[in-house]
Amino acid sequence: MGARGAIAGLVLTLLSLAAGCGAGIKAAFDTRFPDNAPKKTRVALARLAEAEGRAGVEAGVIPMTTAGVKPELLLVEGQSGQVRWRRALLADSRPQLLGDLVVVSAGGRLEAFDAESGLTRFGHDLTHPIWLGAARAGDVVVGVGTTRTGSAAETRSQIIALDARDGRLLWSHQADGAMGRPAAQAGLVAVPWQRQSVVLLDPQSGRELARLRSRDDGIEWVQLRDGKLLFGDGRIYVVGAGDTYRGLRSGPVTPLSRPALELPGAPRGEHSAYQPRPGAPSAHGRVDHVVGLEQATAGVASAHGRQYGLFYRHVFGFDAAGKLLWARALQHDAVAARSLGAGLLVVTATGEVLLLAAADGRIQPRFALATSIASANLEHAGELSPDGVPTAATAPSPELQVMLRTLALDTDARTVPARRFSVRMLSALPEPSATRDLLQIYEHPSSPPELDDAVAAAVRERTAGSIHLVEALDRRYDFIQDTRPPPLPMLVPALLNAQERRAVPLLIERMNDHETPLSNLPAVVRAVRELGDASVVEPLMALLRSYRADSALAQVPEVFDEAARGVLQHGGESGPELLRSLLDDGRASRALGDTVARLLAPADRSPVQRADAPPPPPPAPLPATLAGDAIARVFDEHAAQLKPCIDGLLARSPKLAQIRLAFIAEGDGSIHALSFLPDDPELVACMVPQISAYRFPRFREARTVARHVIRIGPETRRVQNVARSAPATPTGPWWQAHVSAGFDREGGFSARPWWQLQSPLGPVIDPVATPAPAIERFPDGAPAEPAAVPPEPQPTAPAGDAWWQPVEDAATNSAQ
Amino acid sequence: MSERGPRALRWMLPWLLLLPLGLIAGRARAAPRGGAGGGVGSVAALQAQLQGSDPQAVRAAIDGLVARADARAVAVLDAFLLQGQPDALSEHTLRALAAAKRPDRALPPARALLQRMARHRRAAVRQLALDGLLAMPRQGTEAEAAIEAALAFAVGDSDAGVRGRAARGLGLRGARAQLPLLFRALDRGVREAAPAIGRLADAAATAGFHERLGRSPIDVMLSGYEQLLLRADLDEPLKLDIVARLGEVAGPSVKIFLERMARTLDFRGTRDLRHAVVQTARRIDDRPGHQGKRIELSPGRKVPSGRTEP
Repeated sequence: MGARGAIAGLVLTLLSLAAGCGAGIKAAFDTRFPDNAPKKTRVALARLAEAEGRAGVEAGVIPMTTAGVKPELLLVEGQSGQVRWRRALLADSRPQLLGDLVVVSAGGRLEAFDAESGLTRFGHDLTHPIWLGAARAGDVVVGVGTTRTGSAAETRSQIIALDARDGRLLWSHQADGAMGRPAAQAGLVAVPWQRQSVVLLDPQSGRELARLRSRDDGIEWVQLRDGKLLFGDGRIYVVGAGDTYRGLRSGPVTPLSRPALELPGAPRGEHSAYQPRPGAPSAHGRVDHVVGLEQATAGVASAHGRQYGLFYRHVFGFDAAGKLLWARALQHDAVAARSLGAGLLVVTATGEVLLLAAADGRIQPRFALATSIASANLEHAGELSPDGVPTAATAPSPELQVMLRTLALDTDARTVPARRFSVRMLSALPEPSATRDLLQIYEHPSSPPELDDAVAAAVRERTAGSIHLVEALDRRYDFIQDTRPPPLPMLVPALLNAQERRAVPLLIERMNDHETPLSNLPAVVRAVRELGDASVVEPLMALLRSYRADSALAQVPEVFDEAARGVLQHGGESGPELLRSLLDDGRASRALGDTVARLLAPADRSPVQRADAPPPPPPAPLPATLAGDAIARVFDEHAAQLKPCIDGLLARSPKLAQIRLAFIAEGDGSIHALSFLPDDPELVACMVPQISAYRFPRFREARTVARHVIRIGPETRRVQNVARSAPATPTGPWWQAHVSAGFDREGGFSARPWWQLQSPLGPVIDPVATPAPAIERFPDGAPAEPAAVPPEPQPTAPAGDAWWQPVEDAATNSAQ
Repeated sequence: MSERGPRALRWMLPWLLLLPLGLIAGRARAAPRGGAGGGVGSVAALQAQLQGSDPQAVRAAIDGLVARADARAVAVLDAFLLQGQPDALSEHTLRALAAAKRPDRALPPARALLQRMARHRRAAVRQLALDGLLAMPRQGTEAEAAIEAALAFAVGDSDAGVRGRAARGLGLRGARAQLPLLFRALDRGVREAAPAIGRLADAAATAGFHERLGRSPIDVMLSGYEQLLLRADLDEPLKLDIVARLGEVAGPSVKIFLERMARTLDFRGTRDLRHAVVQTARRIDDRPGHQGKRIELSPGRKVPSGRTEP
């Protein structure tokens, strides 16, 4: 007994020690498990070579869930469209076909149905409510649930293994951190974990066999295919049994990459295993990058040499290198798509199943289910049988340029990102006519501002088709014909970029066209200067002469700067003298005088140098329209001048509560068509001459209707509206000293005009047409007293006071 | 020497004194009208006065040149405007040209000047230039075509005042060829096109005008119908039809219009027309709740005589 007993005891001791050492490491997902162990990895991956492939995987069927009042789970024959069976079910996850089972999560349970009959095979309560999906290895169904997505810190996940025959729980593991949807083949289960590792498990026991951990890249998905393990995110790692993976991008296993496609909505090529795939209606599947993987000689390639972009109703087909081949618009949103050899198989939200041909995207309806589809799984739809391949159509397919223009003009507001993508693709086409198409898109009424911006940026970069840009200049605004002016903000930079000198005559026409918006005029003049030659000196001088003393260009002094630079640049030695001649009589505006003085000085710089000198920094971008606070500021500045008018009205109407004003403001800041309410003649006569002379801040729109309200409250409200934070000493405009109620013992006088003390709202005026008063500026440039505007000849009103009574004059009488 | 010599001198002396006066009077008759002292010198003086620093003097020079009403004066004014002037001087010049009476020989330069100013950036200037073109007397087919073209161009202007003037002007100038343009303008809301159409329309065009009844504001349509009813070249059945159509429309504004027409129409040879107008007006019941077909006035319009359209 002694020796044997000692040996037995020693063995037992050693076994106990071994058991004791291993007791702290869990069977799987233990942080202490060694990763990137070559031997373990090799042994585990060797199982793939021995695998029998997917057992009982049936091709040619499509599990779907429907939307609506009575949601259902369907299994549809992929070739015929026949519904094999249907079950009333509100699915939480997208259904999966796993061998002879259809599995789906619903109401916190995993439901499994026989693929042939649709009868329930088993159900299993899920402890982790977010079901990410399952895989099948032989007779083992392995799936992952998680508590939440997106946050790794607070996430707990569970992987369960069920017997596919009866749903018996074989094993399960819980772990901190996010697990992803597994991949499986008979003999091996691969589970992404914490976006950093791939855990390889034995499907029968659940024991962890090996672990690969990436040190350089994230891991968003895993696949088992052709005896290899594939995983990655943007970069794809392919690891076989004979490979040594150390987790480094530098090798020995180096990642493969495919040309990145910047698709609308920025979808991933492979779906993240950490995101659930919902069974209820959602945006999932409507924005997608559909690309199958296949092993190529050089590594991994796009299946069938094609990849596709989906954005709701818009579908784009690319070759493996990422070159756009076609673009199509479906009638309804896609909810699922898969790349086949024949093309892209698509299921739409209305239950249509379509095939878009790989070569040109031609749409071939396969069948239609008269129901709304929430989700569909096309993984096992199979390739189409030869008789399912669409025959060649008789009508020629439209060119890519036509396709892209059609998509860009789609009025579906949801598809703006796809429309911008179409614009970008259209701008890359070499055909000159693509420039014309871009112009059409820009001017289309349905184009939103973000699309216009994309078109403008695209046109600026194009060099082909600039003649279309020139032709677009040959158009002007006409109220009767309802023609829009040319899109100068887009055209001019593009013409300058292309150095399109053929545009100069038309640019001069636009420069002299009074309908050219003032905000566009500086750019037009600049283009004339930069693209023109000596022949532009005379038109530029004509512009400068015509408006040197006129108020029309007072708000855009940049026009003077560009035109004067042009004269100096192209006028040779006579340029400076030409500019000086504009100032001889002293009537030129101060803006022009300053510009000429600046350009012609200092004396030691040549005119050419000064003309080439960098222009003044561009002014700050104008606001789109005239804002209420900008209106209020202008009225605040002139409050003192308006007070006598309002006092006069108050004397006649002591109970007056407000004065409303309205007017039309032009983009250059001038106003006209003033109207008042109350339409008191004395008030109007007092206020109109003053307000008409106001200059408001410029804005981008051509004109806008503006309103302002002067509210006049009772005496008591004047006291209450005093600002407490005003200084103690009386300062500020007259009204603050005038009204004792405007002085607060604590805060002193308010810094706000008197009518704002009574109400924070501004004034409003009703329109009454009146011309702006002219301001004379000679001889020294200082303004003379504002000249009273001579009244226009008024029509003699007949007894009936009809507005249309014409002016009867000698010419009219002689004509009749 | 006999007494004949001194006696002859006494007889000749008055004639010798009268001779210079006659020469002076003859030169005055030959001087151009309005030219103080006549000839190149006065234009030059006014031209120099234009460059002065006194605004009043400049205006006076402008008025003087306009009053001369000759081609050279207009050329000076044209150059003056081409030189670029402050707003007040440009507008004063254009108003003076619109108000002045000019002999025929000054017209082409003035027309060219006004056509150019009709494309000025400021709407006020464009309006004044159109007023000047409208004030020009008729002078040949080519000149009239040029004015008509300028007015037709201005109908498409972005400024409502310019559009209105241009549309009205086409009517005043008898530009029948522009009727299609005037109809488009009416459809686009240029209300001055209506009286212009009324001045120019024949029977076929009147039918086209009727099609707008109910689509355009009633006061706009009435402005055109008034012109049609006042025209002597249109036959009575057409005018009776107009009255009948207005009777179907009814409403207070139509009633007032017809009552006014009854007071102002020249009814020589149109007794039936006056009777139709009066009877139709009487039939229109403008009491609240008893008004026939309602057609809205253009916004903000008051019906004359203090009545307001509800």
